[in-house]
Amino acid sequence: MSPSPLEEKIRGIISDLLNVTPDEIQPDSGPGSIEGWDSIRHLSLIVALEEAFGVSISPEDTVEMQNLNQIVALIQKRIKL
Amino acid sequence: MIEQIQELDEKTLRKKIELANSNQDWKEVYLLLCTYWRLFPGTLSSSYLLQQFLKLKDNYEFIPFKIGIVRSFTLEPIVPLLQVLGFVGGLHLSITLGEFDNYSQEIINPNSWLSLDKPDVTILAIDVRDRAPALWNNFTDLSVAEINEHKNELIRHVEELIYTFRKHHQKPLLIHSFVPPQIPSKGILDILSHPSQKEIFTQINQEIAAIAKKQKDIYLLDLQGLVASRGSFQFEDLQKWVMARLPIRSTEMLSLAKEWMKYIHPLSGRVCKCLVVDLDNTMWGGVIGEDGFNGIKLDATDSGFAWSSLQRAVLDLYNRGIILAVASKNNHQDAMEVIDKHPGMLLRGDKFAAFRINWNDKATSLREIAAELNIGINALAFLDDNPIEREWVRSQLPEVTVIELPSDPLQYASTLRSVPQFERLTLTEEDADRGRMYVEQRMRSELQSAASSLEDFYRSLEIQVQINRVDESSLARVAQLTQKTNQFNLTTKRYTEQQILTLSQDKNSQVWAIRARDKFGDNGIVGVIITKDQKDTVEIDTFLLSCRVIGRTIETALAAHIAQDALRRGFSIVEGSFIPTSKNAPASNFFADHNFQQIAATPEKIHWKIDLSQVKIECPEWINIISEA
Repeated sequence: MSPSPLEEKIRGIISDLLNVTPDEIQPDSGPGSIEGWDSIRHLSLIVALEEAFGVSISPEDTVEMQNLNQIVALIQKRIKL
Repeated sequence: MIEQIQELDEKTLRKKIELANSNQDWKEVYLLLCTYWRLFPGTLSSSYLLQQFLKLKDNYEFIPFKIGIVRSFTLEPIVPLLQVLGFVGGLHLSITLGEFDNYSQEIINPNSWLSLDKPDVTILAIDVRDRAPALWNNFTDLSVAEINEHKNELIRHVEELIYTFRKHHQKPLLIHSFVPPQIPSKGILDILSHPSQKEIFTQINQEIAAIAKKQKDIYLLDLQGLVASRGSFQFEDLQKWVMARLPIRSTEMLSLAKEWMKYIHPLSGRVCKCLVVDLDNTMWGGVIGEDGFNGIKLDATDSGFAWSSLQRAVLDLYNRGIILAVASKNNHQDAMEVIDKHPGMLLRGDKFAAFRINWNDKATSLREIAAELNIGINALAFLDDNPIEREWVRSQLPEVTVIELPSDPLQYASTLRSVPQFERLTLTEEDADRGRMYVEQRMRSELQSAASSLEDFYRSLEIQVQINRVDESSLARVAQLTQKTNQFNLTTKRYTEQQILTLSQDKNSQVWAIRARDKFGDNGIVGVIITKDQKDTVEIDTFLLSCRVIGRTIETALAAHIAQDALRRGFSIVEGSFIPTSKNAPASNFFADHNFQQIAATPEKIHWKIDLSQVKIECPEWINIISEA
């Protein structure tokens, strides 16, 4: 199943932020598995996602951002709202 | 070409950047990165752009500048934004962020990273909720005495930080002012009551500003003003505050970074000295060649409001010491008629130091203007409503700051006022006059081209030279001239104020301050002569003239004065030396030009002498000398 445009875009954002190639970011990649994905980068990611999609990510939301899949799902949810 | 610009998406831009990199076309890489930022500013592109700029910096010239930030709250996400703003502005910013809420220790500890790093500017950002939360949260619980206690504690805290910082570091410090809650704790009662929460914060900021003023290079950043202009509810982000102790909304971090850049540009020297403006649809609405004198829009109360406001903004820059010039593709006469005669024109001809009103391309005009004014191309800023002209200039002259104008002319004025390269941290009298002095120089040059002979030209200038003994009022300037003047300076002897004072009191030496004026304006004190009486001769110890007034035969008038003064006091021989340096070639012919004889020469010094009983030195007839004995 090919990744959705949304997933592609988010993958692009993460790859820029962490200075890794988009291929290195798998659906289950997250702060645990990619080097350099620390809490500061995670905050920058939240900032970038808010800017990119015009959404607001709450403190509670951050619990659901442990990997790419979860992030895509969260953004999808937020965009609909 | 406009279509070309609008079609650029990020993918295409990245491909172009990759291509330019592989071609090692560094200028093109720089231009593409700046275009990328202009089209897609913000956190999203900042990571990519930062990576690219960091690769570019070894092949392209950026001015290095170190920034240290000490803070009470989270600021990490803003750092890449600031770095990209720096690169786009020609600066390689090295930014060190201190530890979270560790600002006190880092300033107070003389061995902290601040001492090792020695940043060129340190930013101190304290959120009031981190230091004096009672003033924010509990205002209505507190008694008047308690409120004042909290206020004073906060002021003393910042005062101690300022003094301690100054004790250990000599570089500039930029302090965030304190911002009160947007909705006062007392509601509308706040403005009617004493103490008012808003007033308390104002007092805190005023006191800190007063303390800062007593030191050198300590500045208060008007954070309250920034928040107000952006809108408090837009600027603040409570979710981020709870999540990460970051009080600023994602989309507003760029606003704070831009505010910092307003200080970083003047502190780093990366400023623009001259603004070159287009005319049609920039200084006025419409095209003079098509709409005619009465058809263009320049009425402040009507359809010309946008351009009138922009002219006002340009005039404010002129008053700040920024030189103005015009680069317009127009019929010279049509354009000058508007400038000279249109009732709506705030900027008359006497505000502009150079004009290029012709049909040449604008890059050529800008190069010529820089050469005419004798300033670097990278000191120019360019204002033109036409995106095609802007692109052209950017592509030809990447060092010029090309101001990006929005499509709505009503936003032109505020856009110009926000350009950080025009910010200044001081305004001396000389600065405020700078625009005018360049204009006067242009008028002199124009007169010179019109004069049929050099003598006619000098005559038409109506030069007046005032030669006075140095006194209390001129002492500082005279000493400063001996320290600063390098080009027309025979001996390059440097004197302090105390030394000049001593010389002036010695009855065997004479110190003169030279003032020059012509029909265009007063140049102030521009020269110094120091002579010393020896047994049978008068020795010229110092003879210098500011480069502003070289080339108008004033040197001859001064030589004549020295001769006259020597004869009056019974001396017929005057002697002097020329000590060559790498900078004073302009003065090397002075003695020969005035009929002195060379009597000795070594590589370090050439000694000259004149016998006034045999040879005369006449003052040029076109110079009027006013002197005292």
